[in-house]
Amino acid sequence: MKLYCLSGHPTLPCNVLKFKSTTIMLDCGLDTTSVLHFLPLPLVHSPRLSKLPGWISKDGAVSLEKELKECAGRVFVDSLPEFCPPERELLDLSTIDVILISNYHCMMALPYITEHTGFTGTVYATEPTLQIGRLLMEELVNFMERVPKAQSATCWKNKEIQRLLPGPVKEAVEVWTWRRCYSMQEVNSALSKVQLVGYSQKVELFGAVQVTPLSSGYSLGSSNWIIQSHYEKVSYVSGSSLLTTHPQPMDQSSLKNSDVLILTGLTQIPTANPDGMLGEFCSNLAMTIRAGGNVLVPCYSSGVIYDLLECLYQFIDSANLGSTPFYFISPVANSSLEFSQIFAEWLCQNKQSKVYLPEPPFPHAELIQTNKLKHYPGIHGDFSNEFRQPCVVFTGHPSLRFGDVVHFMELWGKSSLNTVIFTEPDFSYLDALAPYQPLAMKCVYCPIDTRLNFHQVAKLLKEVQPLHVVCPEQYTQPPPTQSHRSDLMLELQPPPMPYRRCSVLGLPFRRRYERIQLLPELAKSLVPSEIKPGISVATVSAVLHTKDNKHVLQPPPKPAPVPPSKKRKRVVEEPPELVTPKPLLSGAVPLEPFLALLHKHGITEVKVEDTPDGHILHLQAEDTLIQLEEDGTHIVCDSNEPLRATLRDLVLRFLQKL
Amino acid sequence: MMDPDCAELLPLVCEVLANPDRALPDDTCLEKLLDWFAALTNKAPGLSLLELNPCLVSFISSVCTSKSAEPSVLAFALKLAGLLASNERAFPLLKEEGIMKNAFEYQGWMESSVWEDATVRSGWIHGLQNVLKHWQAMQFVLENGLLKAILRLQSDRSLFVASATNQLLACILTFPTSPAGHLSVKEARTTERKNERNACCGHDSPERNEGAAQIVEHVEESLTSRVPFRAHQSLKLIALSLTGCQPHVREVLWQKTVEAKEMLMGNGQSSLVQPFLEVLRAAARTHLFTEGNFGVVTLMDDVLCSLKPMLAVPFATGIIHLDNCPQTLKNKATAIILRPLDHVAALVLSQKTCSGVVRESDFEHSVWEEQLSQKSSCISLLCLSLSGTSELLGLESLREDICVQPVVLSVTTLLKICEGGPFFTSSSSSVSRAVRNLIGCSRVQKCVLDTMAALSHCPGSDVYAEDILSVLLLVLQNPDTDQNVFKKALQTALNWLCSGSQSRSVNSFLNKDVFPMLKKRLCDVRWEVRDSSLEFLTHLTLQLQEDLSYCETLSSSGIWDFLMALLNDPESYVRASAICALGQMAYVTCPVKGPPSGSSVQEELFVHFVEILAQDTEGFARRAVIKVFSYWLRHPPLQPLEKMEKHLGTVFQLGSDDLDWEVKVHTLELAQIVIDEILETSSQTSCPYSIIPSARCKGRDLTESLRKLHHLMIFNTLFSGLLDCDRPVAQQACRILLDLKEVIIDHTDIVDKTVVFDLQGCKWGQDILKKHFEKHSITTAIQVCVDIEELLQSLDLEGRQRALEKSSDHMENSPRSLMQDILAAAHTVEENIVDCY
Repeated sequence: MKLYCLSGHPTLPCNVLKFKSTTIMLDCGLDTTSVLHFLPLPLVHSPRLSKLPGWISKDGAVSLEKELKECAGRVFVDSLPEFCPPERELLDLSTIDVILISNYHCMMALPYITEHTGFTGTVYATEPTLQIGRLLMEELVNFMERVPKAQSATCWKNKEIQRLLPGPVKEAVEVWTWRRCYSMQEVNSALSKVQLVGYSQKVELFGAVQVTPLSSGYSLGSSNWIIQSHYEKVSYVSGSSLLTTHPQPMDQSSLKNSDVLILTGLTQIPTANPDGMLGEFCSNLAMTIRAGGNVLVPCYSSGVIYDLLECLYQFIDSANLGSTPFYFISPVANSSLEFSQIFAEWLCQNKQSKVYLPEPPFPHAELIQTNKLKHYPGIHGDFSNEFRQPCVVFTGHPSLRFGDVVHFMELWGKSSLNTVIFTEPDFSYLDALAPYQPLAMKCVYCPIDTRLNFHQVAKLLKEVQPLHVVCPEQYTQPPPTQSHRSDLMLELQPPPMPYRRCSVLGLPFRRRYERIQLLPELAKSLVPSEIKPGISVATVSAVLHTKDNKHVLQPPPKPAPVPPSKKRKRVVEEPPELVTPKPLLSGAVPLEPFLALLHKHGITEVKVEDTPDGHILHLQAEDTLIQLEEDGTHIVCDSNEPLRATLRDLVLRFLQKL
Repeated sequence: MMDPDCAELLPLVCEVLANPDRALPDDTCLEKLLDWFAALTNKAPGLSLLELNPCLVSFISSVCTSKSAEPSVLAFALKLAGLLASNERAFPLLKEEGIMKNAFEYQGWMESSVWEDATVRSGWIHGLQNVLKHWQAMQFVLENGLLKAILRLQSDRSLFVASATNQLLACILTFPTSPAGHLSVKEARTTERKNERNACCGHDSPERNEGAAQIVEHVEESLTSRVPFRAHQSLKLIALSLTGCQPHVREVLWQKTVEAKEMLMGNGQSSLVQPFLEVLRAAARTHLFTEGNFGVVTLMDDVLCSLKPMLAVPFATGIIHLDNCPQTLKNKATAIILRPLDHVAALVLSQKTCSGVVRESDFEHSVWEEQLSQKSSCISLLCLSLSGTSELLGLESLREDICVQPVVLSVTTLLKICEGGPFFTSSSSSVSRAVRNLIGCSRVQKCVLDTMAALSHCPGSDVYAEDILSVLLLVLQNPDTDQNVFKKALQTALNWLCSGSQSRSVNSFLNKDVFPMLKKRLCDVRWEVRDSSLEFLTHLTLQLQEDLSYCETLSSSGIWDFLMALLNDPESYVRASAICALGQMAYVTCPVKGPPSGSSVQEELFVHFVEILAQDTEGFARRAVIKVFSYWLRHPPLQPLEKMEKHLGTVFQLGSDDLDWEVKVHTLELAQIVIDEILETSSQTSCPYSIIPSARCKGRDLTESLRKLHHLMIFNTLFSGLLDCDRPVAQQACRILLDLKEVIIDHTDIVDKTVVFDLQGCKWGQDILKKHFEKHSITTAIQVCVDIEELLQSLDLEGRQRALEKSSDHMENSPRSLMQDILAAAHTVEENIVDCY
């Protein structure tokens, strides 16, 4: 059993598990932090960005004026942003049988894997994962395609040149593997390979293993996976949450008794408690509005935004924000808000019960009804007519490199009355803000990451007790910026097996058993005999038949009647000759009765010697040794076959035969 | 004296109680009856209670001799017998009647089956304790061999009986040799009695000495008995009696304790350690402590170092409070208290102990380290240490002994650890364990904050203000800070901000760090946080109102708008706090964005507050409004508040019509302030330097003042308050009216005392004015003219005040009602029985 690690990002994993002749890809996360090295894509012409000076090395030897621009002491690539897809060289992607998706954030690299690689397998995901994942992909494609950029910068990727570049660009790794965003066609093709599954549904893979998604409590339709055969169980824990938010709560008990637990997707900000951050978000928002400023919340169009809106629904009245407009701008804003209301069965109990009232599960429906929350596909059109300040705007992309957010950053960045509040934990807010410097706008970092923290995961592992834990190497030491926080790492016994991008781990357990089915007619023919109280044994002669990873014992074919023709068939086609097996012996030879029996048969001169395993009997007159051991008896007598046979028979009297 | 009604009911009650077939409603009525008898025996001279109520003697006698009495009634009878016999003159009578014998002779009880009931044994012990007020009673105990029985009950299986027995034994050991001892003051004044007592008591009385010896012998046996409960009880007895007993008994008891020390202390695990420490504490309050040859100090010193940390720290905290404590012992106690803090500082800062007052070799390091490495014991120990440190810092005599700097270092480090901040270089396993134990621990945080607050009062601590405030800011800025910790951090910050003398640095800190943080917290999702922030702002402004630069900083901070927004907060506590904060702020500052009308901020706010008083649905906000008005009137600003005067009538109208009684009381307080103000003004016109205004007022000015009071609806407020169904409101109104009546009556020269009341919609008019008119046969009308002096006199305010002084349940709590209840209950039970069959 092996694990191939194609992504080094702990919360955007992409691992391949080879288990019992199946090749299973676990998640397909796309590392988008690479876009931080690029210049933002403005929706309307930005004089500031277009006037940025090109980069020339200090000695003037290297000039990449067209590809690289300087802004506030940092260098950015002036090109369409690129992403860092999972590693493609470590194994042949066409050999992958299935891809299991755990949540919509972890499927963004799907087109890079399923398209143009020879992939012919199936992708398994829950319905909300597929639908919301599709929205996020659509949004991403839309963000990129609506601001086309002819130029594609590649020179800076040259190793020799990159070495000379300043700052973060110089340290960027794997730049040659970075890829442009996929097209809508590729998205559709990739998603057509998805097969929907429900929680706890068992899916057989080639009869060899069974995979089951379990609720993970992190987002709508998010799952952890169990991959098991009859005798082995591997659990794959991806983004999971124990907090009471909108999704169905996490199913922990089904993770028990795993041989291996692959643990990914813990919180990225272990020091920030989501409740505290939500409170911080609200108070900063209210503070800005009261002072007459606008609030910008760069966010994804699905996920935490539902909780933010729910929190604001309660907070708006208490903070007298009733008259402040809230805008949600995304090409998929409408679908996201509507989709969230229809996946009732994937929601927490509290929200599910609202469906029967009937009430929409999420209160953002009421916000929309009362005109407090308005949503638009983009800043053009209706929005520009309705736009009123001071206001609160939720829009993407949280990297601040593309999407409508770029426009608001340019628009509001100059006033210190306005505030940008970062709630998504995926990007460093300082790096995200770098191309907007100098910035007068206030910046607040309230990352809300509801995924498991180290304290919760320690408790979970104590509960489910896996034999071995495999996790990204980042979890085995405190975060680099907080090396004193020994509480922010996994401390387990035995220690977890760490992995990094391109690691290949041999998982530390051996398969020892395989289940074999016994056909009823064969079973009927068995004659068990009890060898110990409660244990019966029978011998069986059968033919082992293996197909689709299922093994069946069938009764041996009856010997064919001797054919009347003289023509002999080929030997290989003949059924195997049935030989009656020798009986199996069991039991022990008790010393005293055995000596008595020997005496009865005229063997009187016996010298007994005790050994650690039993006894050695020296028949002095016959010059013969009998070695009695727990699992064997040896009779050593030189060429006296009659004596050996007699002695053998005497020994056999004490043993049971099967 | 017992009132006749009660005297009439008492025999019936005794009859009911003595009848075992009649059930009682509950035991508490017996306790209440006993309380009443205790009060009567204290009041009634000599024999009167017994003589006037012969039913008592027959009741006790019949119950004590009855075989079938209820245990609770029996216990009651025993306690009552003790109470009655505590009177020195009643005692011989009871003895003659055989009551003392029936009630307290042990032998009889031992043979009875009722003795098995712990209630009866407890009653017997408490009865004896009640008796032991005079020497005759003591003699009775000693001569009848009761002491032996008492000593046996010291290890009774019922903890209540055992504990009461210890009290009784302590009472015997500490029985006074001086004549005035346990007697009521009244009796002690009688010289005759004094002489009598002097004759029969005294510390050389052989019975007494023998009794004491018997107890001491028993104690010694118990201490060495190896039966933990017996030893435990005897140690408790020693602790109880050590300070009050005679010196020679004290010395012997101490001697016995010291001899058994090894056995009692064991290896520190014994359950007897705690009571042993109690004895040490008691000994430290006697002459044994100051006289060197008893070795109390040495023993305490030894014990201090060998105790387990969880016991050592509280014991050390006790030592620092001792008078006449030798410096070395005090130093050691101080070091013990500071040790856990030192440990944390040493761990994190890789420094050796900070306090440095005691040799390291005196401690068992491993024990302390083990305790500090486990989460629960580490937290408890640190909390004990921190509260001990707060006490240390509170003792002026000790402040000089402690070096403040290391304590500051320890507490700031500890708070940083709790916050999870980066603070050290060491990465040893013990540090990481400490971090795991303490991050986010609000219990430790609260204790640290208390200690920090105590540090602010230390002389010379100013220099650490910056360090402390910067750590406090960490706590206040952390969004995960628990709301109670947040509140405490604000209180601590207030201490430091107000104790500092460097106003410039304080102001820059406020401007740069505190106000931005407060603005955010005023928008917090948790109402508790918003509320605490407002309270902090109110107190800060109150404390620093004299500081002009503070007022400027506050004015320009932009916080005013945030407070105004909070007037509409959904949580009424927050609205109330916002009102208080604005009231305080308006008093000292003019916000940058002043109201457009040109009138003063305070006046605008006044109008807003009156609206709140009229409209807010919750009492807290309305109470706050009236309190702010009272504050403003007590501390009038430089410019008179014209609008306020104009609308004050509305305030009184609204305040007295309010549904919340506290609003009404505050309104009456406001009325009092206005009355004082108006009467004082009228007196000042006659004599500007007078300090007793009312006496010298001129009649014409006073007439004017009365008109003004009436105009402001103050008479309406007072009369309506007087008839209010809530007692505090009526009391307050009555008190003010009485004062007013005095002023009016004193001034015969008032030109016009008539006041015109509008009867329409006047609720109190029906009761007060109509009565007045009936007397004077004036026809009913909508508007009536009343002579205010006459009206006040007709109201019998004095009588009303007397009636109001009695609590509203005085009828229900009276002994008469109690006895009626007992009778009624007995009757009801009987009826029920009839019903059942």
